[in-house]
Amino acid sequence: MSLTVVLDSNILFRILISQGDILEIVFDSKVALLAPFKLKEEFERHKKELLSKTKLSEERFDTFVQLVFKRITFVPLEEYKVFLPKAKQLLKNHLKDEEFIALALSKSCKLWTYESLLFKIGCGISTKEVSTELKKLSDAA
Amino acid sequence: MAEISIKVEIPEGFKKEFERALSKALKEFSNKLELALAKEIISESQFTQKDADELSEKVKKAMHEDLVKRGLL
Repeated sequence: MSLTVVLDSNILFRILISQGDILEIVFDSKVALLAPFKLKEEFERHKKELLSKTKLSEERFDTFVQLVFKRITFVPLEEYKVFLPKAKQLLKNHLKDEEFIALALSKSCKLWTYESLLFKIGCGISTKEVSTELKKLSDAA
Repeated sequence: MAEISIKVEIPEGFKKEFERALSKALKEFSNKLELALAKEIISESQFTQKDADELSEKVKKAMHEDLVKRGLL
């Protein structure tokens, strides 16, 4: 038994903050993490900026990213683009999370996020909630 | 490359069960090792919450604009 969630970009980038509890969840074997493939491309496109802000050497940064990306399944847009109109309808004027919501709708799972609006529309799951769900799965095993 | 060998005695008639349990244990062990390495690397990061939120917004905007450009929204 595992918990499937879509990873929001605000979670992905917070993985790079030292001492974050997000990392523990990312490496939990009971969680299946999904993200739009485009997020991986965008992350890689900002590598220079990420290197400059993390102050990590390129070798250490690359190793870290490789370890984290191994844990995430990056899904091509083709697999969930039919859900974009539904995502747009749910988000109304909040234009920017369509791809994440469409992917979550297509996989019938929640979006792991810090975006408050996404909780209001019933699509979001917080870090605390993900931890609680994983603990429940551990207790049940 | 350094190598570690471990010798384990398998109880008679439990080979299959043992292999299944070993495979599960090794997967858990590998996850824990990778987490420890990731933690070690990221402990030196000077990335902040502000950096993370700014980059996330930038990326979301680019993803949204890409969908608009492709006529998908």
